Amino acid sequence: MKKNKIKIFIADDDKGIIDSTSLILDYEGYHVITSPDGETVQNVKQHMPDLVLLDIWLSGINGRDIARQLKADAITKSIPIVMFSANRDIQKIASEVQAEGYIIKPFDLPELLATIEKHVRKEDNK
Amino acid sequence: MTMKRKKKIQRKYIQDDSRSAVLTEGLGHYTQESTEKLFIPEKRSGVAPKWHRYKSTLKSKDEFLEFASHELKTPVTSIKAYITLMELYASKDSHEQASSLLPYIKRVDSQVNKLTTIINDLLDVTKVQSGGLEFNFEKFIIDEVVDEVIDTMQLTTVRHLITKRGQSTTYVYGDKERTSQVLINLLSNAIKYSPRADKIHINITKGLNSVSVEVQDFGMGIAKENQQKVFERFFRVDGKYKETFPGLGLGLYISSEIMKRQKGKLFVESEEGRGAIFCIELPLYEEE
Repeated sequence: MKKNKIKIFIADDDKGIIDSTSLILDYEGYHVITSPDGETVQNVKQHMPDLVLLDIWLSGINGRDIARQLKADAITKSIPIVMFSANRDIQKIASEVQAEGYIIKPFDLPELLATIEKHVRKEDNK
Repeated sequence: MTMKRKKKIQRKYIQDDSRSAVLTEGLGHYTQESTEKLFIPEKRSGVAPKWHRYKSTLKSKDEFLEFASHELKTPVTSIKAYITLMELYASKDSHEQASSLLPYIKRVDSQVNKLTTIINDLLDVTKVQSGGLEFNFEKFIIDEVVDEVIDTMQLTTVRHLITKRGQSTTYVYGDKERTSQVLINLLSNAIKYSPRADKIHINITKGLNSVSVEVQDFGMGIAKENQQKVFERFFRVDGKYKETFPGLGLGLYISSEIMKRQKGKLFVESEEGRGAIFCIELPLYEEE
C-alpha cells in the first residue's frame, strides 16, 4: 500500500500543531485530513481514515469523549486511535479510552512515524 | 464571635479573594473552585481558616503551574515540528547553503529539548507536591532502559564516553518511563558537573532483592555536608562553584521522589573533587 493512500486524521485545536504535523506527514507521503473542533466524530465517519491522531483538550470538547464515541460506533470502532497530548499521563488516558496508542507532545519525528506505522489500519483489516 | 469581628474577617477574605482572582485570571473553572474555598466558615481560634486559605493558595498555585506547563508545551510542540521540517528539507536540498544550515537546526532542536525538560520538571514538581504523580507499574528489564538512555544521552555530549559495565536480565518492578526519566536526569548531571572529564561509567549490579544502577562521574564531586541536601527541592551548588552552573534545582528532588514511590532508593557517594556515584535501586519483580 502506498503511503499517499493512507489517510491520517488529526484532531487538535491548535493551529500551529495541525499545520506543522500535517506538513511533516504530507512530506512523508501520507494523506492528511484535519479537524480543529468538535466535529471530529462526524468528520471521521465521513472520511474513514486509517488512523486518528486525537488531542485531549479540543476547546470545549474532551478528546476522551470523542475516543469513546468512536470506539462505541460499529462503523468507526476498527479505526486505530493514537492519543496525542502534552499530558504526561497520556498512557493511562489512552488505556482508559481503549485507544491503540499514544504520543507525548512534543514528539520526535522517528517516534511519530514509528507510532503511526505500528498502529495504522492495514488494507487487510479494513 | 461578635458580628463586628465576623464582618471584619469576611472583609479580609474578600480582599484576599480579589487578589487571587487577579493572579489566576484566565484559569476558568480552576479559579472558581479554588477561590470558593476561601469562604469556609472560620472557627473561634482562627487557625482553621488560615490553614484552609494556605491549602487553597497552594492548590491554586499548583494548578496554575500545571496549567501553565501544559500550555507552554503546545507552542514548543509546533516549534519542534517546524524544526523537523526544516531539517528534512535542508538534508534533501542539494544546495550547499541549505545543507550548511543543518548543524544550526540541530542546535535549535537541542535547545528546544532543554526547554521541554524544564517545563516537564515544573509540571512534575507540582505533581509531586500534590501527590498527583502518575505511575504505570510493570515488570521490565532495567538493562534495556539503561541501553536506551545511554543511546539518547551519548548524543548530547562529545566530550564524555558513556560506558556500561555489568548487566542484569532479571525483571524489576516499577515504572519504566519514570525510571528512564531518573536515569536521564542522573546522566545529565554527570555530564554537566564533570566538564573536564572524558568518561562516565554506568555500573549495573544484581543484588538479593534488587537491581542497582550506578551513574559514576569523575567531576567536581559533592561536599559531605551537601550530600543529603542535593535531594532537596531548589538546592543549588554552593561554595566556590556557586552560581556557575545553570538549573532550577528540581531534577534530583523529582528523581528522589520517583524512586521512593517505586519502593526503590536513590543515594549518592562522593568525595569532593573526585567525582560522584549516584545509585538507584529497584526491587526485583516477584511472581504472584
